[in-house]
This record gives sequence, structure tokens and C-alpha cells, in this order.
Amino acid sequence: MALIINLNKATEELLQEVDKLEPLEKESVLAYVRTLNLKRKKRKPIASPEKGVKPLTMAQIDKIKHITRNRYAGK
Amino acid sequence: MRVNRYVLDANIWVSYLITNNEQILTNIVIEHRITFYYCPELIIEINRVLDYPHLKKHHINIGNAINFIKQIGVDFTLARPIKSYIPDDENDNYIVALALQTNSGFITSGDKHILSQKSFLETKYKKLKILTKSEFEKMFKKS
Repeated sequence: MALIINLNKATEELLQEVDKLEPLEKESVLAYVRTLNLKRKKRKPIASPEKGVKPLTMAQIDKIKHITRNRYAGK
Repeated sequence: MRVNRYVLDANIWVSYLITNNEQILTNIVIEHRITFYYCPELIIEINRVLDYPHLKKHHINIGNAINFIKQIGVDFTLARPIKSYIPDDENDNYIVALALQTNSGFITSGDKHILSQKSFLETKYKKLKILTKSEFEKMFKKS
């Protein structure tokens, strides 16, 4: 019980400190906490390239970006 | 703090996401207390690139990719109108605007138009640096 009270107090103090930060700084702290949580969790891979698929060069990615921009231009 | 604030352009995000190297960005955030800013325009652009037919062979889970960016980054809504910074491609202006409006110290880009304006931008905005992906990674390499 004492541990829970201490933890609650610590959390409250931490939240009070975060509240004092300017909005962008506060968002940075939250992003940091989210990133820590993300690292702890086991995640499925974002990409699962087929065997033999070569990684794209930056120039190729840039080309695709500009193609998609033209494709969606005005939409 | 300006030195800890970064904007990555769509090419850079995509290059990490399609190679399953996004944990490099996660580690940078945790070890160096870096903040990556994104805006709705950037999310739309990344979504469109990841959905491009040529990338189908990479079997990208676009929802997970966007969610990853939203988890590790900080959302920012750009104030308008957006000024012209990249005369060769006005579509790139929002990236520079995002960096300036969030007081970011760095833009990491693989876009030829942004990189071609490096010296102009760095001269005009003394606290802004334009980096390539390899320059960006070099900053965080353990010596």
C-alpha cells in the first residue's frame, strides 16, 4: 500500500513537471515515452520484402515521390 | 532545444521503413533524446509513396508504418501561408516550413531540390542545417 502511495506521488510530481513545459517540449517528452514503449513491445515488421528484392536507392525513392506527387497533383 | 529537433523528409522515412531499419530511428530517439517532427502533409506524402505499385514487392504494412511515425514523432500543424523556400519545386516548401516553424536545427533529406538549396538555406537560416541520410547517421555513430 505504501509503495502504491509513493508511486502515485511520484507520478503526480512527474506530471506536474511535464505540465510546466511549453507545448512542443511537452509533446517531445510524450514522444520519448511512446518510443520507449514501442521498443519494449514486440512488433511485426513493417515491410516483408520478397526474396531477391533489392533495396531502393535514395534517388529511386526520390523519383517515386515525384511521380506520386504528379499523380495526385490537384487532388 | 533546436539541436535536438529534426525534420526528416518523406524519402528518408521511406528508406528506413521499407528496409525494416526503423529501429535505427527508435534508438536515436532514445539514446540521443531527439525529436522528429511531422505534419499531415508529410504523412500523406509518405502514405502515397509506400502505396506506389513499384513497392508492392516490399509488402509494406502502410498502417503500421504511419503508426510508427506517429508514435516516435511529434505532430505539428503548419501555419499558413507557407513561404517559398525551394523555387525548383514548390511542393518541397512545406518541409522547410515545418523545420522553421518547429525551430528545428536539422532537415534530413534525400530530395535533390532540397539538397541543391543547402547552401542558400543554411546562409539564410543560420541555425538550420541540411543533412543527407549518411550525414545524419554519422552524427549518431558511436565513436
